[in-house]
Amino acid sequence: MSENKIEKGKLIIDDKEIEFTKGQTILEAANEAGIYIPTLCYIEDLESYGGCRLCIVKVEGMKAYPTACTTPALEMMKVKNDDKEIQMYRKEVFELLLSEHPHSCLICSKKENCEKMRKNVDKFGRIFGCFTCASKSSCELRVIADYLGVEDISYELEYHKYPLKRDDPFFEKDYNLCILCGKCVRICNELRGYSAINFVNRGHKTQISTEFDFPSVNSNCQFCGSCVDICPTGALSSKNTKWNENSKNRQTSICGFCNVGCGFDYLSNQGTIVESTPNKRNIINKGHGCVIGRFCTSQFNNGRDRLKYPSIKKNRELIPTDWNDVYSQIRDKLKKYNPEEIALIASSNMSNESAYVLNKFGKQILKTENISIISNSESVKSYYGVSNKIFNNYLPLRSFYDIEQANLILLINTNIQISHPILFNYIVKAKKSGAKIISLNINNIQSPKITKHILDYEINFSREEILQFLIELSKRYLQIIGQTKSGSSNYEEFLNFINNFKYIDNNEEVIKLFDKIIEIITNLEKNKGIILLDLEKKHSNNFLENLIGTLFNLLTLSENKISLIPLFYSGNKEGVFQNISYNTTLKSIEEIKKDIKDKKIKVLYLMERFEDTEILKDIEFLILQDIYLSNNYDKADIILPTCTFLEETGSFLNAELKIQKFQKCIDQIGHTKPDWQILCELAKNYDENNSKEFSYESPEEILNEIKSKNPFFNHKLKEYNLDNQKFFIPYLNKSYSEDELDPFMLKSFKFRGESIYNQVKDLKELIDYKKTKYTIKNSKKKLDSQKQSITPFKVLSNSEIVPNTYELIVEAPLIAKKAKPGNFIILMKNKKSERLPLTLSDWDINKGFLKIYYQEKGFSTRELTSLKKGNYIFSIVGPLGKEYPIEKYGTVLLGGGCYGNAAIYPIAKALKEVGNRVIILIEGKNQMDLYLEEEFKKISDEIIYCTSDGSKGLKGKVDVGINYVFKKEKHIDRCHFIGCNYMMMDASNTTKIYGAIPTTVSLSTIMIDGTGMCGCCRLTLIKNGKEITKFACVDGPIFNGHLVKWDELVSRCNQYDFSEKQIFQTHSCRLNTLIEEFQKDE
Amino acid sequence: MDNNFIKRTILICRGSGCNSMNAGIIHETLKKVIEEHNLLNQVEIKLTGCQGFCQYGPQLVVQPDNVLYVKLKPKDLNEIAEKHLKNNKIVKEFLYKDPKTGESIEKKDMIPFYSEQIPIIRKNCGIINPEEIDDYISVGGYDALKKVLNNYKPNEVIKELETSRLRGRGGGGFSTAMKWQFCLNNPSEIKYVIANGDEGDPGAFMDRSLLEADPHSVIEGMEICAYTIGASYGYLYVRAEYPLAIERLKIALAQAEEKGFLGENILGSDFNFKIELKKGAGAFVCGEETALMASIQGKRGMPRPRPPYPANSGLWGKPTNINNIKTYASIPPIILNGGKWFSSLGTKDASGTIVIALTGKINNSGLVEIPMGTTIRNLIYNIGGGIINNKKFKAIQTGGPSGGCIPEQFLDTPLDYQHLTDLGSIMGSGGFIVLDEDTCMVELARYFIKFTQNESCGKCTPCRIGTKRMLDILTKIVKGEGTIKDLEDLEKIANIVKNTSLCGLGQTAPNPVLTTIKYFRNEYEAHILNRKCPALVCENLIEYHIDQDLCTGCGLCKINCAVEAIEGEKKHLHNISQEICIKCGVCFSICSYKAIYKKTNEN
Repeated sequence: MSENKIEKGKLIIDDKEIEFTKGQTILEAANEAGIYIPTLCYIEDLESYGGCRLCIVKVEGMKAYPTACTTPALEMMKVKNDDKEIQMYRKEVFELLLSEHPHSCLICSKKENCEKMRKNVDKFGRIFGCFTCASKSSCELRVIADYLGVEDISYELEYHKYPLKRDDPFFEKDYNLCILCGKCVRICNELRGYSAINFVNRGHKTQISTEFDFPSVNSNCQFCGSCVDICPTGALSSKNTKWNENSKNRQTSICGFCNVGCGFDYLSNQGTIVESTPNKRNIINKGHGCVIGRFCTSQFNNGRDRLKYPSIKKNRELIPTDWNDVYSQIRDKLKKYNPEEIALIASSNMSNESAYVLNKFGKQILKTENISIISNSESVKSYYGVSNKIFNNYLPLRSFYDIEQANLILLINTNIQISHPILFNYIVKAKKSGAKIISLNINNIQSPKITKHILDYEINFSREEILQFLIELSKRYLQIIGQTKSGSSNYEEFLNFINNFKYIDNNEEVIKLFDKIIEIITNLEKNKGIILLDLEKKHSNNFLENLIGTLFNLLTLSENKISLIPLFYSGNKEGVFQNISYNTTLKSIEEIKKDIKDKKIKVLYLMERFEDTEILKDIEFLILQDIYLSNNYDKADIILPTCTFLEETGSFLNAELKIQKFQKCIDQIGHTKPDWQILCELAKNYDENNSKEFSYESPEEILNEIKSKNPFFNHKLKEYNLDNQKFFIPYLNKSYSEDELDPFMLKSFKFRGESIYNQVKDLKELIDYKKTKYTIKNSKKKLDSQKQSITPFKVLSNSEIVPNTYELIVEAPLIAKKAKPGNFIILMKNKKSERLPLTLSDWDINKGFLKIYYQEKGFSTRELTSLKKGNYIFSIVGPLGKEYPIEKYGTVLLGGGCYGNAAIYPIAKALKEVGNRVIILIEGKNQMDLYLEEEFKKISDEIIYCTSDGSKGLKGKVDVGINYVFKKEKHIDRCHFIGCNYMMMDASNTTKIYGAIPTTVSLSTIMIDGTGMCGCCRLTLIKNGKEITKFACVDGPIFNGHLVKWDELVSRCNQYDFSEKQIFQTHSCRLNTLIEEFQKDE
Repeated sequence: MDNNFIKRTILICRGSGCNSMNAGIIHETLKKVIEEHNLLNQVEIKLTGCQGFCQYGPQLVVQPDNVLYVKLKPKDLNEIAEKHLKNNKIVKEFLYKDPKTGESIEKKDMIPFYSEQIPIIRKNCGIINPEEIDDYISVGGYDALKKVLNNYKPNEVIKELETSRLRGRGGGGFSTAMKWQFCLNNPSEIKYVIANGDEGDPGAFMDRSLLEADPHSVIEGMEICAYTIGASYGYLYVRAEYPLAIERLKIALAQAEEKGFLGENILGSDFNFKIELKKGAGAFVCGEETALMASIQGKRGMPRPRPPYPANSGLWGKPTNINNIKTYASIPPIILNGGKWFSSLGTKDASGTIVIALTGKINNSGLVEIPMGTTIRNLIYNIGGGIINNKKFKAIQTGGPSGGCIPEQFLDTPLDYQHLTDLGSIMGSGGFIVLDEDTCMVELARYFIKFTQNESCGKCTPCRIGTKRMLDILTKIVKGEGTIKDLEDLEKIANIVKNTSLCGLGQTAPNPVLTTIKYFRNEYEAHILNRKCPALVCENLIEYHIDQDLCTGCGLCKINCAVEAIEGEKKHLHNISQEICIKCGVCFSICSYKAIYKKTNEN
């Protein structure tokens, strides 16, 4: 026993004595004791890596500087952590790291102001600073920069210029931000067992990549998102939700899409779920998720076709109404029917509470026996049917923890890495400690590539063969152990069956496997054998019973050292089954259908749609309680909109038979209500006398009632006793039909009958892509060959000249003829695009083209970046706005930042032509942001650069540059600035200090029509204490910078920030569909 | 005729070095010549591995006369056969000539290159046929294994090693006895033996030539190790770039197995041992032991931090002993002659001998094995025959890209681990590069940093990024754009990389930079302050000119200039246009009259 004892010891960190457990590293001991040691590459569950070198410490008696993450803690070891020399080295190493990560924001002089002003992250394409980085709030580099007090970085930024990788669904990769901590690689290879990514190349060119640098869809990637969640920088980010800041409302709850029951943190903003991230503290998933839980939840929940209002059919149309109206309607209608004419059908996605109330409602109110559960309920029925018979209502224990401790894992008809990826993690862990993994497939459904590498044996059977195999296994096993210890009452009968059983197959491979399995089973002691059985796949009843029964026999023979975990694809199938079958015999859905056909059942109250609508024809009155629009909708007489598990509180029963409580994460959408509440209110409406029985304050109260009444939910039931167990006597007299099974299971994941595939754009793309096995080539061709209507606006070139800034040259002779410095245009890429105001930078009257510089800064500009030479732009309107007055002023200062650099160019050119002395001031994050330098040299007398990190010219923002110019020049006659609002505000405020020098700015507000009608571009000037309203599109865009009411301008510009970011998530504009419908009508 | 009859053996060197100089054709021609001269009965031709004197290949030794013929061409063989083999007259023309005196030296042992050597590891190299196990057995091969299996307990082997004071020959210099002891102490049932033949230093070829010339000595050493620590499986990890070594190892392994020296119940004992040959995939970092093991396991060759040391958790997580192949080759002689004998060689700090691949601007480049403690001066001026063209010695780079350079003032330093470490360099695996006055030390440092930077596995920050920053600065300096602050930064980053890198590659990568800054700071300053390259190497800082007195106007330079920078009519003075010249140096090396010279940039 002494081996198992946890040995404790003590070590000293910076003169502080702390305790450690034997086997821990210095870092782990320090973390436990609350001592911070910086690190970027440490992952709790994995072998230490020692790559980032930030956790170096000094250890007495050890050479050099060992890393805390790799050095085991030893008794009375003396460690120096907060040491001057150590901190110096850490800082230097960290600076080296930052020399290849866009770092200018970390050392920017305006950092504090910027953080305060820019509450929302800008949606840039390439990320070149914290203010454009979606992972700003979760960035570990920022934490360490603060800890080490990094104020200046001695190196110039080396930007790798790797292309952005956006081909994949769900996440994007920008390896220019990658610091090569290797966390994603290790988590993918060692923990998840997918090996979709790894390091490639050597030295400075080392990079993370998939095989042959293909998009992840072509690799082993399962889109579980673990790499995205572990990434300490913004290199990997969730595509659809990245721009929603993490810090908003966060609620921990349980995911209800399958019966594993992972813990997730649901983040919401303005009443919408924006992101779901796996909960790190949850003991089941430990911070990991799967593609559905991690990436599909928010889109599924926010779908546009959600049912929101209770409705009643009037004149063949469903009219929204209020709840009481609906209840009365139902009551009046239902009272006209006999109880046996009404059927109540549950959904396997309901909570335990709702299912219980449904059972109660059916029995007490409707008094009907026609209660059933939809969506492949036969399997759960068979499972409990057999289990009740042979375990005498006792249930063997199940635990996920057993999987990772197991010596033997049998996967039966299960593609677990796709259907239940979290359990696959447990298997990977078991495999590491030497477990044998055996896959028995039915009907030649081969395991996919990703499971194959983990399997020790894989055999394909027909249905009959697998039963034969399992019975023969029991037989051989019994022969080895001689006599069972079970006091089973039908042991003799079982023995008789076994002795008469003759195994037909003599496949050598199979015979070997028998010996192997039996060898492992007989040696099982502390560790266990686990059988994982996918029960969602459709089989005939008879087969399932035999399969489950023969497996249970193995459990009994092994004295419960083997356990069986049934897997379902819906969150609460077992829970719903147990609740609705409480004190009643469930009818199967087939029986219900038969009764409908026989006109015995005339009223249906559905909690989930019928896939086959044919049967609904015979129904006289249909009540549909659902979350999504479906083909049952039109047939329904009453619609009762209900909630998803994110909008209500309740509990699920997971595959371990644990009661898991889930929490309400957002307010209910529209007028929806939880199922139990609808049923209770309906019951009370039905009959006043019921109010006592159906008055629950909270789901908690219902759960307590369930626990007090239904023994299944009482923990006593789960203790088993060998003596009470019986053997299952298989009956193998029937041949089984070999029907088709769907090998691609992700598509069969549904919630309340609605396929997640239908609602989540990226999942649909992923599955379709994989299914059709398009090569990348094909899909690209498809995109390119899209028809384009010819317009006068032909694209001559469109290229990224510096990170994120694009130069677009487009033919527009008429506009070029009239353009003046300071004008802008409004551009629409295609007829459904946003109208985009862009400043003109240059034009050629003779050749008839315009030059426009734009930054990728949102959905619409992102669309623009895909333009190629020869494409046509749908429309360009212009020139718009007032021009800049060109006169001889004397000395003029023109300042630009970001896209503004290009915007000041035509003004500078014109001012120079009429004989002004032109001083150009250019601001950038880093020298790599600067462009048009040569052009400016030709048309200016002096150029001053200022960069945030000092990589070119002055170090600092525009104010530093202005101060420099004003100190140097005797007199400045006029200033003009173009850049982001913050830059223009900053510049105007700075020139104010030097007196009343005319300072103008070009304001880019939100614009729609550009003619002064819509009023979106409204802004306020304060002149002599009076507020004057102006419209940027017609009165501007040039205004006196000293008069602009900046706060208002900034807040107006950020008005639609949330919706703009939402676009990335659910880009399916309702307006577009309407337009299409219009066109069809015409 | 009969009284002239002497049975002779011709040892023809077929190492990679000589092979590349057409030793294969020499070999074939020799066979024909012997046949034509009817000498088949008197002369036996024997293929051997590298004989060490690579500068003078292709070569052969006529035994028992002990005469070495060098720099042979196929047509020379007739004369040797006619005069020497038939008439016992040594052909002076093909003998080695002392560069100092110009005299020919007849006997191989009289040549200073050989006379100063004490071959222990290389004792069979150039003498036996590496493709014949019987040859190895005939010189006492596998006797040590027999001795160990019959007379030694594992502890006694280790005791013998302890007495010998053998230190690892891979560069680290860790006590072999201790390493084996750690592995022996581990109770695990499965253990592994790995021989590290992943020799990646530029200019080093000790391991390759040993594997090519005497593969069985390594196999025997591994077996003794396996017996001692209790392993039954071994890996021989060799670079894929060494096809000949791999070929000969394959033959050797097959022959050893056939003769019962490998496999089960070796020599009738209950000792079983198998060796698997693994080819490296060309990563320098795989010479690092943990990276090498990752590579064997099929992973990307990336080092991991130690502890755990391989002796506790190595290959597949099992205790593993990993040594350089030269260390294994040292074992059989130690067992046969005793640890005391080995310990009597060398110095207090290090016993035995060191195998050096001597290259660079030296007259006798090749492989030498000398006792520890030999001075650098002796190595260069005596064994090495001095600097090519009698130029001035500038420095010697020891330990490859992980080592440092040692300047002239330390020429009398004895070669052993401690002395080299004191000078800021390392012994390394034994690749020594001699540099003369025409070498730019800044460019040299840049070359080595570029190498280590390209070969970094990319795992740890300082090595991946730090070396790149150093390379950036050095590139700036050789271009003449450096500042004094750059030099300070360079030293600073070098120290960070040295102190914080994960594995040996990063920890030693800055050595060439640090030692060149230490000993040749003036050269750095010349590049930075005066924008001059004193050695006239760095392209941006030099110009090519034509000496008006020497130019004959032959036009050879003009024809060969790729950018047409040279003007001038035939038989008239030529001139180089500095605006067009790209400083490729073709004209400089092609001019027959040495009329083209370099000088520092005027600007």
